[in-house]
Amino acid sequence: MASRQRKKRATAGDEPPTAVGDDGAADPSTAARSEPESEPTGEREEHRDPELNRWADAIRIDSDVFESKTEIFSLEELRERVARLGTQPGVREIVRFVREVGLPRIERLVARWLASREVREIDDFGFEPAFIEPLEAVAKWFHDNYFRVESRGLEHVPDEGRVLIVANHSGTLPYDGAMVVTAVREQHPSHRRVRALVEDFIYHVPYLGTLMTRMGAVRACQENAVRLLEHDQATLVFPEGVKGIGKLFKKRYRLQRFGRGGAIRLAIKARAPIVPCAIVGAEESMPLLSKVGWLARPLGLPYIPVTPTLPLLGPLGLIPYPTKWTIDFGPPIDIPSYAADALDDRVLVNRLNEQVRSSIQEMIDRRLRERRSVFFG
Amino acid sequence: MSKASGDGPGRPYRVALTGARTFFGERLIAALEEDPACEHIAALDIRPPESGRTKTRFSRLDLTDPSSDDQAAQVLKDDGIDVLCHLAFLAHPSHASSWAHELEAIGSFYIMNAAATAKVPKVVLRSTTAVYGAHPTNPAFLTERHLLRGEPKSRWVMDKVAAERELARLRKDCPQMVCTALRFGMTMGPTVRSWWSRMLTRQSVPRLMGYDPMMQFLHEDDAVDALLKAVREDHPGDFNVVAPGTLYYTDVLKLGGRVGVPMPHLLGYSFGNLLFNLQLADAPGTFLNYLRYTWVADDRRMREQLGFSPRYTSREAIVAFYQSLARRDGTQATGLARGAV
Repeated sequence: MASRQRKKRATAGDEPPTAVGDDGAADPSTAARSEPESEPTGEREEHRDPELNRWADAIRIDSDVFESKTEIFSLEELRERVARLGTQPGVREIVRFVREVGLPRIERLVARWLASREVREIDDFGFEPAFIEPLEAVAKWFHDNYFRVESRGLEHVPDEGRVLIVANHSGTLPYDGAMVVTAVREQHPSHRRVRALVEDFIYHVPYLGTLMTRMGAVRACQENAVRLLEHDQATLVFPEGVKGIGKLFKKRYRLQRFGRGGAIRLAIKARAPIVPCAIVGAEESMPLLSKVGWLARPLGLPYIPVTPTLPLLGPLGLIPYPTKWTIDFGPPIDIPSYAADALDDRVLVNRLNEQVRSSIQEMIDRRLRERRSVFFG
Repeated sequence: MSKASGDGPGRPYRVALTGARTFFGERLIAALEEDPACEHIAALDIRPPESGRTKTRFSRLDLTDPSSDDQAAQVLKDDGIDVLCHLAFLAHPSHASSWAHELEAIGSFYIMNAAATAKVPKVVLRSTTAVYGAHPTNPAFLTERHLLRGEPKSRWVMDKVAAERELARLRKDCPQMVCTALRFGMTMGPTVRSWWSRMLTRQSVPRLMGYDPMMQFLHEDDAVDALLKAVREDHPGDFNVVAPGTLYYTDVLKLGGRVGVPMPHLLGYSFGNLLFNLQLADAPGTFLNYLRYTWVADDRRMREQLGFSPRYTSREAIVAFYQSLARRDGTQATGLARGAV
């Protein structure tokens, strides 16, 4: 600090600063003067005596000269040039502007960034609205411009209160979940956020589990789902699970078994209506040709997908193809009204399960018959 | 079920405590000394408690001694004890794990046997929500019905599970007895110390790369209040006693200005064990599971059946801890200035 002040004074006094030695020679007196007012650095403190100071500077200058021979640009020289530049009439104003206006502004920016790091609001499940907002914009772009999602029957999703959306799962990577959530968020009059129930394995994989939790997903188990519904949340479930999303392209649009009827028991337990949901277009966005199991197991994943582009193009292969999507929401199936005591009757639960499954299959088949092109609908 | 609630002095009762010299023992004795309904406190430990006053009578009891069940039963019978509080548990994982096993698992076995022999009407056990274990398959909120899976590799946790099993056995053997287990969340506050608070005292704290579980705490004052409530009123059953609100682990570190040192989980466990064996870490590597998976407990039963609501939230509890550290060290707790409370 002290030395920088001294240097400025030396150059401002119009001494020829080309020779480094001149500065050093002018040094001891100014240094001695500046010492009481400016805080002395540790180095200065050692040589309080001006005589010693001169010696110390002489030694340092010697080493500087020596270095300047070996280096292209000595640091000292560079500093000199910058300091001289700073005294030029036009530049001086710019420097002052940066110091008085620019730096505080940067400081404020840093402070704001630090403040944004502070502990943010989350809900009981770890959902962080501030975290998902920028991601929602990305999802909206995919929804509007990339997949050009066409949603029908959104009026079947209630504006408030608990509801269980049961959908078919497809497309290798869970883009379908993101699109259902976005469709309700953007196009439903209530703009409610649908909470998705996700597979167990996600929580074994580093980063993925935390990421999904922050985005509002919840591990699929009865306790969690009942709690979500009791909080009157719209909950999205894919009863097919990994079997659905990981089915090969040749089996596209053929619904897999709906687990063990967990979704039905959930609806009965939480007294929530079921809204069937059929997603068409996701199957072709990432056609799964083959699955590699042995490589996936050590990573905690159920399989490593092989699509026409996935291992071939590296991470670029994760980008889905721009197929035309449609999402159909069917009229709510009010299971609690006629199955209040069906919880213990597993056969009845399974029958209801099959009923929901076939209604979704029908919706898919109807849509497939109407569709003329995979990419243009 | 509650017999004595509210403001009145209620039915007089006589209490015995094991682990009277532990943090909870000392604080509970101090609270019971103030309670007019409490007539007598039999403090059992290897050293006399410091907070004992006129009602407290100390008897030396070493739970690692095979005859301790006999000695305990004698005290319980002679003093006409109404409530037995079993608090003799270690807050830190011990390097002498077989001694710790004798004290916690076998000691609980002895104490429960003594309670059955002396026909004590009520037993209160201090447990921890760590007995559920941190597993990726845990639901977001663990209810009391959930299996006590613990951490199979950690004796410290499994000894706590064993103590719970002893209480469950006592409940089955003596159905007329009121058996209460209070499962405390991680207890934090200005004075309580555990492996967890010791870890957070350091400037750099381990963190597993890619994992950020939800955390939940309990303020020490609330823990003592819950114990007192269980002593004064009859609430048979297991209760999670936890503060409302959850925080991400990274936010817990952020609140205290701690630096999370990221470790890959494949190396972290053996590295943690190495550090623990060198006495450089506060807990063995298996405890990293508690920093990896969520083990948040559900407080509905505590609110509805125990009728207890903590005064401090999880965040307030952890901030109280950090503030006490800052006061002790005479430093400004970094990060606390910004929206901490």
